[in-house]
Amino acid sequence: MHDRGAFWSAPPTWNTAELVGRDVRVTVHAPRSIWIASGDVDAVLRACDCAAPVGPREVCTASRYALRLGPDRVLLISETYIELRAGWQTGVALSELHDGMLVFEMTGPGGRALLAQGTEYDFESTVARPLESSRMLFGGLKVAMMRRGTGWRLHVERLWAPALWRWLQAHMD
Amino acid sequence: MSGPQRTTQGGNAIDRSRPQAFSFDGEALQGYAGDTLASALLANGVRLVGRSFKYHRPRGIVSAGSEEPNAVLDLRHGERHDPNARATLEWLADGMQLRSIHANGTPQRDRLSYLDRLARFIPAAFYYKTFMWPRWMWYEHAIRNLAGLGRLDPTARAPVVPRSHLQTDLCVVGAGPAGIAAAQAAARRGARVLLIDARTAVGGSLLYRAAQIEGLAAPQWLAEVTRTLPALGVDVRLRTMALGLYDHNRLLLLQRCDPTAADRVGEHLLEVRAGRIVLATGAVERPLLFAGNDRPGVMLADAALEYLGRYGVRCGSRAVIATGNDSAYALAHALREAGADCTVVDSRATSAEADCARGAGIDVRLDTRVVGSTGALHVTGARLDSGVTLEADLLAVAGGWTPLIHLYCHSRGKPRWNDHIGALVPDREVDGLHVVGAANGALGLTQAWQQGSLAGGGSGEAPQLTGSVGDFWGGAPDLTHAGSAGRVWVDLQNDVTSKDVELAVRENFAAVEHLKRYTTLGMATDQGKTSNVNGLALLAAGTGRDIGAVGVTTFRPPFVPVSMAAVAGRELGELQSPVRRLPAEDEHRKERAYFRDYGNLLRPAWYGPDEAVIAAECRAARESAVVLDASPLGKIDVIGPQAAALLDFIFYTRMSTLAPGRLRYGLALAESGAIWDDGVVLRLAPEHFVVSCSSSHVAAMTAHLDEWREDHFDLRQVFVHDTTAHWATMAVSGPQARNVLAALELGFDLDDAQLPHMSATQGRFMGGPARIARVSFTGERSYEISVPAGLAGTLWRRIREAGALPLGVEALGVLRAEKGFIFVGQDTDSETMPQDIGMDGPRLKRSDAYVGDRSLFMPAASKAGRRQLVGIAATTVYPLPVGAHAVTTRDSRMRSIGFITSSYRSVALQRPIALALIEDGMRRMGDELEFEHLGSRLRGTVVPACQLDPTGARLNA
Repeated sequence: MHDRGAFWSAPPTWNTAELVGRDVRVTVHAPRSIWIASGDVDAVLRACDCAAPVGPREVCTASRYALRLGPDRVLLISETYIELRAGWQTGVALSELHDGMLVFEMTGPGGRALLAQGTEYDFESTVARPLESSRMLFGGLKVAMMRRGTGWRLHVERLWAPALWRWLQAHMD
Repeated sequence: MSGPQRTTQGGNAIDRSRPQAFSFDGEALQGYAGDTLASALLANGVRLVGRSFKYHRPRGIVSAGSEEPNAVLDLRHGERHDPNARATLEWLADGMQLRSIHANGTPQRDRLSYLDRLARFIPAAFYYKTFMWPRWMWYEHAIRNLAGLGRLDPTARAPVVPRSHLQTDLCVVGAGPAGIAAAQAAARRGARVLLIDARTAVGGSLLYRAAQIEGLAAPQWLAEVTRTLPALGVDVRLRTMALGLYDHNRLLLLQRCDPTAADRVGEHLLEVRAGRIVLATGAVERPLLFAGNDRPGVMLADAALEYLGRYGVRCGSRAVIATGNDSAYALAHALREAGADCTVVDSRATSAEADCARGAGIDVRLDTRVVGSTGALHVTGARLDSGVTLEADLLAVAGGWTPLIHLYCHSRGKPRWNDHIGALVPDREVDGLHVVGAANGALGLTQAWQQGSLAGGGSGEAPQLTGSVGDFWGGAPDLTHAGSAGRVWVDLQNDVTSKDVELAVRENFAAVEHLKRYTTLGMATDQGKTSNVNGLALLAAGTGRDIGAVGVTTFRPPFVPVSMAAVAGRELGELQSPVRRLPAEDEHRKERAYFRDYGNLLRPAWYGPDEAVIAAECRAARESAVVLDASPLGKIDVIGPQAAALLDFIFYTRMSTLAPGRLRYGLALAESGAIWDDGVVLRLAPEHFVVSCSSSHVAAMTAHLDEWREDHFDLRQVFVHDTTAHWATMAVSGPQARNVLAALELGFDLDDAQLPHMSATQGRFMGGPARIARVSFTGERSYEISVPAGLAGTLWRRIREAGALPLGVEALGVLRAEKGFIFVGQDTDSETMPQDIGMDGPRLKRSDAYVGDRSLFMPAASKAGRRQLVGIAATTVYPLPVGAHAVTTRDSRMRSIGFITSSYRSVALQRPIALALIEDGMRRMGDELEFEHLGSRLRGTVVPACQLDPTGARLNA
């Protein structure tokens, strides 16, 4: 078998990585804190002074937000460090994921067309789905999606991040 | 002038101010922007476009749409090469080079045309009966060379076809009158509507058939509709064809570009998820069955009308129109107006249209049929049943209509035969799907409009419409002359004749699906759009049944051929099947790592130019210290008061008895009792465990834990989080491992009393947390250090600076095999149970329930002859091949008693070693076995799986 390192392009340097296409730009955002919380998530969100979790269609501009992953599970993301302890806290299971996920920030009017290539999710639908998970298949990968102002944030597991980056790069051409 | 030609005016699809130069078989020709390849060829008088698939008969353009069986061409345009371009579906552009396909020589002089004279010796299915001796394969290559369509150019690069998704409340397929009615009605009710059509304009048959709508002539009315549809919010996509309809109202569309546009972007594949779908796909005309009905110049009447109205191409100057319904009279009038002589040969005794046609100076012959054509490379006349032969350069045929219900059938709709109109129409309704207009057998424009309007949620009220023809459908196929002298062609693309159908019936291939396979009727790129119903009628007649009782073959996607490039889209190369990447990959690349894909992970196989370095890596592990990037090993948090109970249930070994800070190896079983995965469980706190499963099994193990959690446990008392990506893990192993750890200054006590084998502790690295676990997969003293993934590269560098050499996955395979440690799935198979690898303890001791427990006590789990894991000490110089079977021979018959699962050359033992699953392997210790591999015989001795340091002394060395 040939050296597969030659087949797979080297991952980008994340802190300087940027993709610029026609009408769309993707940069890497580095939140300070990411936690996954399950169970009584309302209690955790209250304790962290974080608003209710959002799905893929709700617009969020806060610096600390929670993405809905399931009825009793959220991804808690913050620009500042959130002081929590991993493990079991009465009614809530907490695990740290600060380095486990990368967040891609997509801006520009071409973002919608780029997203349409990766997911069949209907961002324009007005049907209320209050328990909808922000996680979806995007470009064949699991991505937690959030609307950020007029753009989007794509949250992806670090090990899959190079694959998603490469996908975005190819589809922006 | 004889033959087809461009008229001086008319043609609402073409732009006469934009000529387009192209060539056909090397001859320079000219068309206009908006022309299809077919219309451009006809406009230049081209009647012969290629040779037929089997008999190399001359063939010309028959239709104007997706049903075209003959006009398949080799197309080159810039970098594009399409060996099977469909001339009726591709638009002309400057510089296109077209070639006929499947002619040996030229279509005019085909060296293989002699095959036609051998037709009686090579009827349908001849290859099932002949060329069987001595072997079909001896002839296959030559026969395949004689048949087939275009040939791929291996040097040509297919263009990348982008794919995107679209969501809509209603998708209307077909922008004819019924489709327009549906789209307008739905849009007026506020729905998001997508309206698609394969043509370049909205209107369907109204684009070339005369009608009056709301007091306006069709062209004016369509101009108004074209303006108002977008204003209503309807997303109109032209040049777009539906390829398939799938579950949950998912449509696959192929949108083509205008190749003459300056910003042409090629094809675009659209996946549409629609709340509801309206199919207004119309109907295609059927050919008539008579001898020589395949001759170039024999064309569907509706197609001839479309070429005249849309492209300004008069397909003949002396036309005979053979019909059995009123729809063909429009062509007679149009040709007459275009200056052609015209005779209508109508098989009916009366026709409401006949007098009107005669009044316009058209020769109409009622109660008369065409029984044959004359000519060689193109038609020169039509023979009538009255004995008269009419001179003709165009023989237009109108044998009735076939609704296009393919998409309805894709969604498991079943068609039924409608005797009144003589066509297959949709039977039962399919949820979320409405078939309207001609596709639903509508009688006239008004009914088509009403059906469309109702399907779009409207009132069903139609505007004032005139222009419908009286007897549009014409009834069932006319078989009067199907059995006449000479060959009557049913399927033009596959060269199937009426005699082939009769032959199939005689040989009892009388079921419709058998007929299709036996004769190839309805196969190939046109999928029998013009031939299926005629074939069914012949089958029904041959078997004495009604057409409705014969049944139909299954229509499957795609509706029209689509290139593999379009299906693949951009998901090529790295995007086809992506792999996970290590957070420290950059460091491994700097170390000249040789990478391989391991279960969708890109990992260093070894560090150096070739495999020779594996031995050095193994030696370093046994003599000094090595570091392996073990980051992908699972790190699944199981948290909550019932976490211990969940893990007890999942693992074969009890985990609830683990003390915090300790680790335990465990097997996870399938319900069959077979080993499904293995791993190490760490208890961080009384209610917090971390499952470190196989690297390639993380997602599956997470799902496995969650499934059983939901099935057996209180959902508020235990939770499963996959945190694998957060932690990077470096495994430091070897006699010098402790020294390496000491140099890292991780802030914990390295003393073995404080951190014995199978225990864990917490430390700090670069200001962040670090988990250190003493666990070994090499048999040496080992430490797994886990830090946040952002520090992976730094940790790797620091370990290397501290003296550890890099270890790749291949060397790890050798080291663990020396110790008899298994790779689940490689050293086990779907029947291997714990007792087969020497782990019988829990099975005998545990009384509580766990996954797979009952299967472990089935009789099959204890019977003699189970394959058990053992080591093999090979007596060969080279390692035994993986997969080689251990065999016994009795009465010169060989029997397999097991096989090699892993095999390497051990550096530490200085000989080949192997692991194998052997029947009753434990009882064969010391036995010498014979191994068979691809005809060669090798030998090896059964030994314990652990062949190095069986007491485990090196773990604490």
